[in-house]
Amino acid sequence: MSRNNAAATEKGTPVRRQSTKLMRNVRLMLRYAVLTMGAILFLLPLIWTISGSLKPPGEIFTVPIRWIPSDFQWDTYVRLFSVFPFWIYVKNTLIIVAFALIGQLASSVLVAYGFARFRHRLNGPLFILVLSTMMIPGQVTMIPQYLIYKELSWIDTYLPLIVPNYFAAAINIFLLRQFMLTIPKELDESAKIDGANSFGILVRIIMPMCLPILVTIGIWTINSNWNDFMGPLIYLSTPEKYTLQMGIYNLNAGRQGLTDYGLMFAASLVTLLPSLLLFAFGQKYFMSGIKIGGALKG
Amino acid sequence: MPRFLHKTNDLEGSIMVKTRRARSLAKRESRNFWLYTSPWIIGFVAFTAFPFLSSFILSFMQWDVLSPPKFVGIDNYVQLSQDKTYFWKDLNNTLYYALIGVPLTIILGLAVSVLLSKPIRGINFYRIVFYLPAVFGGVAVLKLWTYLLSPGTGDGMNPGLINAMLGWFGIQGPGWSQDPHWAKPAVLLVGLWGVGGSMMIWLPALASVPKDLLEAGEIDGANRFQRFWRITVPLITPAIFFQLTMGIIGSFQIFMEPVIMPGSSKTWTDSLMVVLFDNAFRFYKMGYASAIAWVIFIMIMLVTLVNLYFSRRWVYYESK
Repeated sequence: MSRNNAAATEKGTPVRRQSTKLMRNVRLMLRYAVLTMGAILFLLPLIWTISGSLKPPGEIFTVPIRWIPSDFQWDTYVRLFSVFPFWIYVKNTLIIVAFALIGQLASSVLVAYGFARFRHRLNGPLFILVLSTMMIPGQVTMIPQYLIYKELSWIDTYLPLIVPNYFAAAINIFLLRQFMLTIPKELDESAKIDGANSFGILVRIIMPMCLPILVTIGIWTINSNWNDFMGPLIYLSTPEKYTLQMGIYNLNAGRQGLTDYGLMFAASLVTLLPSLLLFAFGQKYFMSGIKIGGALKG
Repeated sequence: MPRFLHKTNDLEGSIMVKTRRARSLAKRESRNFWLYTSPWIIGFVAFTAFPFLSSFILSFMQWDVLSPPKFVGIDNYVQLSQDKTYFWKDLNNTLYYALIGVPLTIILGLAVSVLLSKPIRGINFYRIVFYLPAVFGGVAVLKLWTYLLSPGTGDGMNPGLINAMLGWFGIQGPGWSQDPHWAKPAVLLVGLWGVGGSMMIWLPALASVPKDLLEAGEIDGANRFQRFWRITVPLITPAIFFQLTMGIIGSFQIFMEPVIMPGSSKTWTDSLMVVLFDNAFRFYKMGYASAIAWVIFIMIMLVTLVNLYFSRRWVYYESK
C-alpha cells in the first residue's frame, strides 16, 4: 500500500514539479514587475522635484514632462543661500536639535535603567503609568505648558523646545527598558564584584549593549526636532530666531510677482537632505523593525 | 548554657545579620529606583499631570491671559456645539482623515509590505526605495506636494507631476486643493506617499507567521488569497490593531498638513487641531481652546476604548 503510494508520487512528481517551477518563475517575474513599477511610482515625485529645481523657470510645468533640463540652473542652489538667511536658520535648528538629543538620550537611558534593574513595589504600576501617558495627546497639555513657559519668561527662547527633552519620552523609556531586560543580569553582577557602582554598570555594561536602540532613538529625536513645525510656530516670534522649518514656511521666493519655483524646490530639497543622510547612516539599525505582539507583552 | 541554645542564638544572629543586609540592600534598590526614574517623575508631574488637570479646569474658564480668568461653567462647550462655521466643519474634516485615511494607510501599507516580505534577490533595494519617502517630514515635503499636485491653469495646462501622470492615461486630473471634493484627498495623498514607513511594523509581523501553517493550508488546497485572508491576517491582528489605534490617534492630531497645503477655502481642509491652535495662540482664548483640546481628548479616548473593547473579538494573542 505504502509502496504503491510512493511509486505513484514518484511518477507524478517530475511533471508537477516542472509546471510548479514554471509557475513559480512567472510569479517571481510578476512580483519583480509590480515591485519595480511601485518603486518608480514612489520615486517619481522626488525625481520630478530634483529635476524641477535645476530647470529654467518656463520648463517646470510643461506637458509632456521634460525630465532633463535643457539648461542646468546650478546657480539656483547658490542663490538659495543669498535669498534667505539659510545658514542662520540651520544654526538655530542645530542648537535645538543638539541640546534636545543630549537630553533625550541621557534622560531616557537613566529612567529606562531605573525601571529595568531596580526592584520596588511601585516599579510595575509606575511603568504602566509611563505607558498610559502615551495615550494623552499633546494638545491637552499644550496650552497649560505654554502658560507655564510664559510665567518663566521662556517665550521667544529655545528653552520650551529643548527642556522637555530632559524628562525622557515615554516611547523611548519603553523601547530602552525592553531592550535592557534582554541583557543578562549576570553581567551586572560580575561588574559589581569588580567594584562598579550602579552608574558604572550602566555606563560600562548596559549602554554599549543598547547601542542599536540608542542609535534608533537618536535618529528619531534628531529627525523629529529637525522637522518640528508647531513648536517653533508657537514659541518663536523673532525672525532671527526662526528654525529652518519656519524659514521654509515663510519663504516666498519670487521676482516681479512670479514665484521662483526652482528656488522653492531647491530650498525644500536641501531641507530634506539631513533626513536622507540620517536614513542612509541608520538604515541597518531601524530597518530591522519592531515586533508588536511580543514587544507589548514584555 | 546548653549547646542547643547556643546554636539557636547563633542561628538567630545570622538571620538578623542577613535580614539587616537584605534590608539595606532593599533600601539601596529602592533609593536607586527613585533616583534613576526621577527625571521622568519630575517631568510627568510638571509637564503632563499638572497641565492635564489645569487644562480641564481652564476649559470651564474664560481667559485672554491679560485679565484674570473668569469661571463660566460649560459656556465654552455650549459655544463650541453652536459653532457651525469652524468647529463642526473641522470636526467633519478630522473624522474624514481618520475614517478614510487610516484604513487606506493600513491596506496600502500592508499590501506594499506583503510584496516586500519575500526575501528575493535585491529585496533590500526595493525596501529602501519604498521606505525612503517616510523618512522625509516637516514643511518641505508638504510644500513640494503643493507643486506636485498643482492642477495648472484653468484648462488643465501646465499641471504638476500628478496631473501630468494622470494625463498619460487620458485622465483629466482634479483640481486638488482648489476643488472642495479633492482638497482632503490631496492631504491624504501626501501621507500615502510615506506609507512604506509602516513596513517597520508589518514586516516583522508577517515574518512571525509560522511557515508550516501556510504549508498546511496549501496542502489542504487553499489558494494564495485564502491563505492570506484565513491564516496570515488573523495571525497579524495584533499589528493591525496597533496600526489602527495609533493611526486614529495620529489623525486626530493632524495640523501641519492643512496649514501648509490648505484648500482654496480653509474650511475644506482645516482639522480640529487648527481651530485649537488659532483660538489659543492667535486669539488668546485659552479657555475656549482648552475646551476644544478636551473634546479631542475625549474623542480619542472613546475611539480607543471602543477599539479595545471590540479587539477581544478579532485580535489574536498567542497566549490564548
